[in-house]
Amino acid sequence: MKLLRRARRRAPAYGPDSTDPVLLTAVAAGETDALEILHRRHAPWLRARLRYRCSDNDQLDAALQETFLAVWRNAGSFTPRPGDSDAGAWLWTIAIRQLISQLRKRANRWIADSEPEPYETIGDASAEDTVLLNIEHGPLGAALHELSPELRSAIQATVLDGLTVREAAEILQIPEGTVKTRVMRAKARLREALTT
Amino acid sequence: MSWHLTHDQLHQYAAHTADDVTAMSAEAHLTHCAHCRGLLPTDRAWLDRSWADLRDIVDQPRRGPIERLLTSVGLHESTAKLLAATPQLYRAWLTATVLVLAMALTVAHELPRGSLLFAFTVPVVPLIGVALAYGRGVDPAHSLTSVTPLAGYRLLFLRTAAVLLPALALCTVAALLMPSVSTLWEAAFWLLPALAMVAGCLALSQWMPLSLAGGVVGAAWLLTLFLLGIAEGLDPLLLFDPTAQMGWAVALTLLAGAILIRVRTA
Amino acid sequence: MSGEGGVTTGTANGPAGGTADGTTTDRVSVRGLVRSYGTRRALDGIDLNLGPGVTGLLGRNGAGKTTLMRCLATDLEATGGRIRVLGRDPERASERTEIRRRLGYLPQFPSFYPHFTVFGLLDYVAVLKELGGRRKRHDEVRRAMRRVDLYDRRHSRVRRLSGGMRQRLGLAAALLGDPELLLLDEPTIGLDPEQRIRFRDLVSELAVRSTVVLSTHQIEDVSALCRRVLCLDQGRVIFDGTPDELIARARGRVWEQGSRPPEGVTSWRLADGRYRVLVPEGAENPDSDSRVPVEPSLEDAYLLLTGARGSTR
Repeated sequence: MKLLRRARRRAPAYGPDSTDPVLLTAVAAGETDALEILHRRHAPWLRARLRYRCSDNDQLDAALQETFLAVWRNAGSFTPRPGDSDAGAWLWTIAIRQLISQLRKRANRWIADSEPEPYETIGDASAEDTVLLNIEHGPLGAALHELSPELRSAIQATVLDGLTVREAAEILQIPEGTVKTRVMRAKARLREALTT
Repeated sequence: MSWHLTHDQLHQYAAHTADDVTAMSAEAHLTHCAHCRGLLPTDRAWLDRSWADLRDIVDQPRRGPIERLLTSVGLHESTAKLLAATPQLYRAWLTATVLVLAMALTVAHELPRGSLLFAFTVPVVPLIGVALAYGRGVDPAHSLTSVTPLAGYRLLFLRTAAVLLPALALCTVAALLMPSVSTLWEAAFWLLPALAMVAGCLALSQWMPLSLAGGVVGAAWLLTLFLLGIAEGLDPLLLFDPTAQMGWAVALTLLAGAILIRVRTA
Repeated sequence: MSGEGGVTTGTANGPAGGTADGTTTDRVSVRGLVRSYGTRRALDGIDLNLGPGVTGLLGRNGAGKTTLMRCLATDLEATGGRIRVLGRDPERASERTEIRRRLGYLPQFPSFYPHFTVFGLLDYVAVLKELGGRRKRHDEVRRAMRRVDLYDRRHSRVRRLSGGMRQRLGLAAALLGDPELLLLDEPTIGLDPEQRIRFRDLVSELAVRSTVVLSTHQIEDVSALCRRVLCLDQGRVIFDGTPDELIARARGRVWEQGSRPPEGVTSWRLADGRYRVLVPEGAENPDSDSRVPVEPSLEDAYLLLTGARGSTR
């Protein structure tokens, strides 16, 4: 629990049709009703998406709850990109990290937490994201179909979910080195498929 | 957004039956498309439950420092709440207790026979606290809570405990700071009289408000001191000699028994 | 029904008191209830049976309304007579606790811990009402706050609430746990007209399932809400019936006229300069020229009833 409730800033007027940034500002001002609207709006798809990464419903729901608690505490830190009033991507980065920390809790229940290492990401996720948006239409879709499931999940974790190598290793339960090699191989295959 | 997911794609995705590539595509799209997110099939019952769970974390009654402290030492959450709600008079009593004990200690150190004042004050300190802990007139919310199932003995004893523990702790510390006290045993002369008087007050509360019962017992104490003080060849300190201590112990046992029987039959 | 009281039941010799003796459908059944303070009898032989619905309790200050409420609420013990609340005897401790589990009581002047928040205070009362674990309890408290329109103020401290809000807070405390019997002592004090309407709406809704006893000075509340009225005077029931029956008693005794009537007849000056006159039974109203009979209101009837005491007995 928070020891100090946040100082009440004035909440903007909001309703069920308000945009995410407006709702987040209201949440930052302590409005639980705004949090409820955000929850109704985003919890279902976040849950559906997390289910593809974790089959344990309890952990899933715990991660989702932590996600919205993080939103409740840190709503003020959301800064919308100009022209984009959608908090989907921001929420997803919180959700996937909460899921990883849930999985980590379970895995490390009997082991002391290891020293955190500096995070390392592969490539520019947003550039490839835009390519992936056209998966079903472009040649990329076919190329992805050609990939082995292992390579595909490595691409999914690092590119689509925007995870660091370490996080991807945790969620896929393979060593970090393997993640790196798989991502490199997958990218090579995709490039090959797209250029030929 | 130039395109949207089809109805089938959304349903397959939500039902966890989409193949890897479709799922990846759907995910990349859903991250940015509010329209398709809104069309995704949703388990309403789960959503309501999930929100109710979340709401109860972000939206709770504020808990004060005492309540948090009590919970953190392992008390049940509802017990902590009841104890922490002991009326504000309790705080005034706590302050007064510290002041009175400090004064009595100073007197005991500075004046000859000054320790007498301390000896006769200490036993009533817990009594006053208990008398102020429960009942109409001392508890502002009493009228609102007096006819709840937990009101009555449960609440009375909880409040008594809430007062008794700090009172006994304070008195013990003060007694140990007395001049010419070297052992814990010497410092405990007041304990049995104090407990017996608290028990007497609780027993009397069956017939009168607790605060009045406290007043009656306190008055009886003062009267006894006075009578022993003016009587020939008697000394108020007799109240603490070994024979009297036996008497206090017997009284405490009897009163505690009477209270227990009363509670059992209630 | 367990145990026999010291007073023989079923005599029902009080005024208009008795329906059939304490059947199980009665949520409240009282026979020969006496409550004394020293030599003064605040309640002097009350008989009544209450079923579902709203019952209004009318009477002047000191007529015994609050004492009766507190006796029914198990807050005061009777000096004599027999009380059964929800089929249980409040004099037995175990049955008293059972009554308290199913009872909601709004005392006449509820007071609170001023440094508590609305949510915190109700949560505290909910703990005392044994309303389950934390989650369940919080949900019940939220429901009660919504019902009295205090949800938006749930994190406000009690000392910052207006009088009407505090009254609603007390009402919310009474509503916790969905009680079968609601005893509301002067619940509409301090409420503004809109809140009074909301309150009436809420009470009518509650009365579908619960028995509600409403002690009040607001006669409009009684006419709007109650199927049954009890009038108390000097610790006795002087009327027990429907509002219409009470009004019927006053028919033909309420007039409007040009001159002030003689002493001893209740009257007041109206805005148009005429007088509204309530002529008690047996009294004469000499102004026969300008007087016009008018349909009595419940208030007229109540005033006639209490003003006429002594001349009818």
